[in-house]
Amino acid sequence: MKYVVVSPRVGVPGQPYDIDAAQARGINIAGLIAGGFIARVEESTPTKPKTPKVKRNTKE
Amino acid sequence: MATSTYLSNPGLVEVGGVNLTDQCNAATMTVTYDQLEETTFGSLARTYVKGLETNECTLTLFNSYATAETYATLLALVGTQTTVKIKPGTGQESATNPIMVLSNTFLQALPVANMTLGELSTIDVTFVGGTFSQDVTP
Repeated sequence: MKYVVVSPRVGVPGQPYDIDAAQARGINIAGLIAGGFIARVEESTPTKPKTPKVKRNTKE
Repeated sequence: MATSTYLSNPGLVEVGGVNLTDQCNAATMTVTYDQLEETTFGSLARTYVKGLETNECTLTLFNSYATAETYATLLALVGTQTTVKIKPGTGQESATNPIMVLSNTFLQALPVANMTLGELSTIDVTFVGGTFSQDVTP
């Protein structure tokens, strides 16, 4: 699970938010999410690009 | 007699990891120790040693109910322990510009509304207890 900064009050918007370091400093992560300061983003796994289908010439 | 004066314009007022410098117009952090008497028979004056710390930080903040503002910050913290940081100046932290940190300090009460006709809404919040430390490393 990844978190990003939403509000400039906690960092640079769009940058990842290090929740492990924040929790070590005693910061209430649930409060930051509820207040709209940071947001959780789902990490998507890359999918294989589809190769275009090649039409075979069947008239030979 | 040499004197120096200091303009109160903190570089950082942070509550629970949220920078509230632009919503704060007064901040007081006080380090206090219990005063334990050690006077004995034969002493000519009372003397004391320090006991436990009882620290306190009071902030006056402009109230804002918008997303990621004062109310959202403090509502999540009332009744919990958090960290408050104050840096006197805008420069990098150093021995002459330390970040004063109050860790595990408790926010007992939050005035959720404080409104007066024709005035900007402000609230005073007081964080009590916790451990005081200084951060002087940039």
